[in-house]
Amino acid sequence: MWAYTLRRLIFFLPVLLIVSLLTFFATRLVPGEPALTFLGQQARIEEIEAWNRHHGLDRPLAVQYFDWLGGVLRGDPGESLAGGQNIGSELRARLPVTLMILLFSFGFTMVIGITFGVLAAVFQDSWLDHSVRLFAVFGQSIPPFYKLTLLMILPAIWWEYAPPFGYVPFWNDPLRALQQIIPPTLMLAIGGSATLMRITRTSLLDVLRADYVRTARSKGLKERSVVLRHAVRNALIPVLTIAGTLIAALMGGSLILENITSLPGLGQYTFNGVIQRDYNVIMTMVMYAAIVVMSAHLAVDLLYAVLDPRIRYR
Amino acid sequence: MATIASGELVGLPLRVRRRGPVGKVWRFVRRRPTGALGIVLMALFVTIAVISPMIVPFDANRSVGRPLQSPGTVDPRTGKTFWLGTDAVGQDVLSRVLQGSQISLAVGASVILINVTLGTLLGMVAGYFQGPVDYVIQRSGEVWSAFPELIALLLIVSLLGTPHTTGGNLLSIAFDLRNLIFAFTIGAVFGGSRVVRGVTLALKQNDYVLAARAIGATDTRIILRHLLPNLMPFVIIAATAGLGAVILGEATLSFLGLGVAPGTPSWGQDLSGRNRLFFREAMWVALAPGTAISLTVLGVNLFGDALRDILDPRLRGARGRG
Repeated sequence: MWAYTLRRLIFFLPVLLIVSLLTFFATRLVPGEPALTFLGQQARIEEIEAWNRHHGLDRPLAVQYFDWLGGVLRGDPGESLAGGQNIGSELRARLPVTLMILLFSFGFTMVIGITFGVLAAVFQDSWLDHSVRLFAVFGQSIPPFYKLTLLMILPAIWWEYAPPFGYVPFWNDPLRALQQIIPPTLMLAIGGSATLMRITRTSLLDVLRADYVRTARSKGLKERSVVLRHAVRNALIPVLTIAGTLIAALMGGSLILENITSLPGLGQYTFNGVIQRDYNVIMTMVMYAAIVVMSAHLAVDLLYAVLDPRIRYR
Repeated sequence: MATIASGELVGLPLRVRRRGPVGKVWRFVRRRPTGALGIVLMALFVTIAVISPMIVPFDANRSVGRPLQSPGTVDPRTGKTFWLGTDAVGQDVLSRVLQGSQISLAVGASVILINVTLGTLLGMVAGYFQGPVDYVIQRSGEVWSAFPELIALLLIVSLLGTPHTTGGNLLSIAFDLRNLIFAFTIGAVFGGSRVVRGVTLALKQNDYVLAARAIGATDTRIILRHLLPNLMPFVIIAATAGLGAVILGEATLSFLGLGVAPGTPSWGQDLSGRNRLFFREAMWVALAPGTAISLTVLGVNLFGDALRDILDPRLRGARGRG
């Protein structure tokens, strides 16, 4: 298993290299002067040239790329074109915000999705099952940005409630931070948990018809332990697959959430970087996203083996 | 016929009830009411998108009244009613919601058409011939899957430029929005081709493929005549699932300001920008486009679910699954 993990980790390198090359050349070869975004549309040619020279954009593309690569390998992602801040320190300041959002929304999605998926399967065709399926269909159909918009306006209209304004780091005021994080991440979790509910339900219904479950029942085991100890574990394999793709979706969701609630996380940073065509910020954020997504896929593959000992990686 | 004759012997009714088209529709409605609701919602969406230029009460792109008029206000100048009120710059909300369906349909339908064609082609070639083509397609898919979708879409659209459309019929809108459509197809093609590749790998093992090869059928013939028809259910299922996702994706991009150019009537766009400052006082400005997009995606999802139940052989006959 360790050898397998190591091989997968080594495979990260060529993928990251290709991703970085694609992003680097795609952002720079498309016509348009990033200088104009930062200097204003009326900037004179000499100003633009000076600005480009200052940021090293007048050098050949290959030189720029290797310069960037060298910086990253030394642990320095460079400076933002916008204000000249160091991207590394910006990442350190913003990462906790996004990490909280991802952690909470992922946690909510998994807990809600699996719990209700299991309940719906166990009580198949009951009112609970029907409500879960109804919720799942609606939950998937309402776009996240609309749910979050409603979250911002409805409590304000009904109870004149607004979440505390202005971001505070978690450790400075945990209660206030939770007030800011929990409602939107719950909203964000609806879509993913709706998908998980359906997958869990279908998969558990399949497993509950398996022979070994009948055996477990005929041994006289309590229904509770038949479901929880024998069936659910096997039903979770397809759920895990979805959970892996969920991380990538939630990174997008986090961007939307930060955009609506103005929490200063990495999503906002990525978004602004893309809008302003801030080369170094885009490169860093794409690499960061790729690493997170690939690690999630790897984690899923490794967890398969934990859930099902028959799966072995060599 | 043999079966009827044997039915007669065991005393089963001889006459098989034939259903006309109305009967068939009725049967579908009774058996899959949610699927039927999905079809109704989708039909409504497509119809509105097609005829919206003719039925909008006001010009959707111009401010036609005072800003933030509540629903049902009568315009004192023209005597016409703003059924869903006006938005932050005095545009008629109903007209914008009706016309916004055009963007969703133009983008959704074009992306799915391109994606299904290319994805099926690539997937079949990869699955049938395997070898180097397969390797390249698989590896490109892996590299692509390292990008979170939303970030990739944002990047592509921002690099190519936010598209502008002046309206008109659906085809010209789709042409105007080609940057956006291109952004969606890149990712969707890889996803779609992976499904098709998997199914092709399995189908290829069937005896009828061997039989066809034995009588000298060419690869092209085997792919088109034997594999493609058996693939269609999976392709159709993937297409409907994809349609909902693309409609949501376009709305999300427009919401973030990178879908269609500012000012264009689009459901995502109308939930953002200047309107956002006034949602607390003028809720209808948010509710109208939000409900429109939710109902559309709901329709596509319900329809897709019913279709999957019918077409997916693994689920066929199993009732109450989900």
